[in-house]
Amino acid sequence: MGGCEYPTSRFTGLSDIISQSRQRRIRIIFLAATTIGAIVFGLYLVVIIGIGLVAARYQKTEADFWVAGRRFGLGVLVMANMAAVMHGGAILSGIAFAGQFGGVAILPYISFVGGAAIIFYLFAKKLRQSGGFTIPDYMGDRFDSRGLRAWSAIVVAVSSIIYLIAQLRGMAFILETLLGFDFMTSLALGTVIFVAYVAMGGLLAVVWTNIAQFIFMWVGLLILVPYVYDAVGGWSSVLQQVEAVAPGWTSPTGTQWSGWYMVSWYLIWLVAYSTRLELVTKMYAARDDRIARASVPIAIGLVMIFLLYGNFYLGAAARVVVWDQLASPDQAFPVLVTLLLSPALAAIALTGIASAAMSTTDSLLLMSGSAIAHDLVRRCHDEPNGIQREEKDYLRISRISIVAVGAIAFVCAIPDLALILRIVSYAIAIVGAAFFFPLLVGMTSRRVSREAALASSIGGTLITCVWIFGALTNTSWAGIVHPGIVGLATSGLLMLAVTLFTPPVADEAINKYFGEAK
Amino acid sequence: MILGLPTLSFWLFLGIPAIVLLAMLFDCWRILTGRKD
Repeated sequence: MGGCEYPTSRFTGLSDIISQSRQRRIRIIFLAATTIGAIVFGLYLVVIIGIGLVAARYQKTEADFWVAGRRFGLGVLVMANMAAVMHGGAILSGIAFAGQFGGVAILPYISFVGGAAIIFYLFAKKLRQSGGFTIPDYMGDRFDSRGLRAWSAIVVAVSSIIYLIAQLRGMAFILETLLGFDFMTSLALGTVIFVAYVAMGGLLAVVWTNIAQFIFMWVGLLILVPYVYDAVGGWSSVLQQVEAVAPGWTSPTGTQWSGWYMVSWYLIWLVAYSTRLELVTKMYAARDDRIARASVPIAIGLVMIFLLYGNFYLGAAARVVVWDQLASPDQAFPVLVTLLLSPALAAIALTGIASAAMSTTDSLLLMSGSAIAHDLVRRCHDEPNGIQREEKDYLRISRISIVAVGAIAFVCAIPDLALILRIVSYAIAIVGAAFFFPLLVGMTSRRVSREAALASSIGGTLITCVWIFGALTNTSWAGIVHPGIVGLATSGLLMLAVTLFTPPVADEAINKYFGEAK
Repeated sequence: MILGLPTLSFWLFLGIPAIVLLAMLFDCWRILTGRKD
């Protein structure tokens, strides 16, 4: 693997799902056990629509819709955080990457705990206490800037919609495979189901469906345990075997990576975790700031334990048992399942994982909807212009924005735009460049100025986009380093340089984050 | 093999994040029990 050829679909899991859905081998499994697959999937659909209907009864205000009335206790928030980080796509691509590159190399545990520590010690308490709904709320309030609020809302909306388009295509391929419908029917069915329950139940529906998807996924994965154990033995045994067939598999740099490549991979992941919008915005939904903070390390700790099995152990087992039978690493999990399980159990395992692979779709709908309805309409347009509406009007606007975002993404998902899939794999770099330094420095220093935050967020994002364009058009300079690293460096330097020459934000705006000035 | 795991770097890979995580969980316990603001 070359210097900058990041296995970026690890970030989305999506290209793997799509290519997997097209694999003949999976079709054979599902055709052999279509009835079981259809029953399991039907059950899953009933559960998520039921959750949408129940959650709809709790929606009275905009706060109910976007932050679930800030009612989440520790247990729900921990599960919601885990589901935000670990979905079916992460398991599928995680097993493929672990098998190929080595288990230690692809699991950036130090980045997981580093990102979690940044949210735990620096972000969670202040975000929850500030009483906002979204990251654009933070950007607008902390830097006292309507322009920054609007810019952030546009970044969130555009990046989420692009990602959503790709997710809807991935979901349509899965439904095509599971239920045997054609592509257009599958796309329309999937979009309508997701838009319906998100528009009905808001964040409350999203979190509970994510928890249901999470349970489906783990049922699918745990079915495998005794069969994989029979095939490769326990922890030490499988690691000895994998090291014998793939020397270096258990080393930090894995089978193919250089030290520099590993460091940049870990760095990208550190930023990705500390600015992961699905995770950071959940802090607003906690019952209080103690619950918000406590949920982060508990969730990340459980994710790390689960990934030791879900990526590391299964990745090693796939490398030992099925690797020489694969046309591509993407097939690792489906082929492992087919080889070890009976057709009926294989169908259950794959359907569980496929259901969970769709779990980011609803979060993306919710985030892009909130950026439009709450940030742009309410905070950037209505409130500055003195327009007053009732809460039920804002609830209606929120639901309309979800339907509108779903419709836009649906129309854009119809043509087969390979470019969108390639852009999606860099979306994390755009979000990191736009928000990492404004969050990190804005939470820790009173000194940073509005102009510095604007320059940092806009400059970092634009440079990242230019670099991504270079990477997509195979320009030589863009291949030297990942766009995320360039965007972050630009964002950090602009933050520092502009702060030196501009005054800090007025105390009235920042006291909410730092208390009264001494 | 060291205690069933293959290399020292493997232990570091698991051990360093585990120590950081345990420190966070300790603070988390102090926050939840009101011992830390």
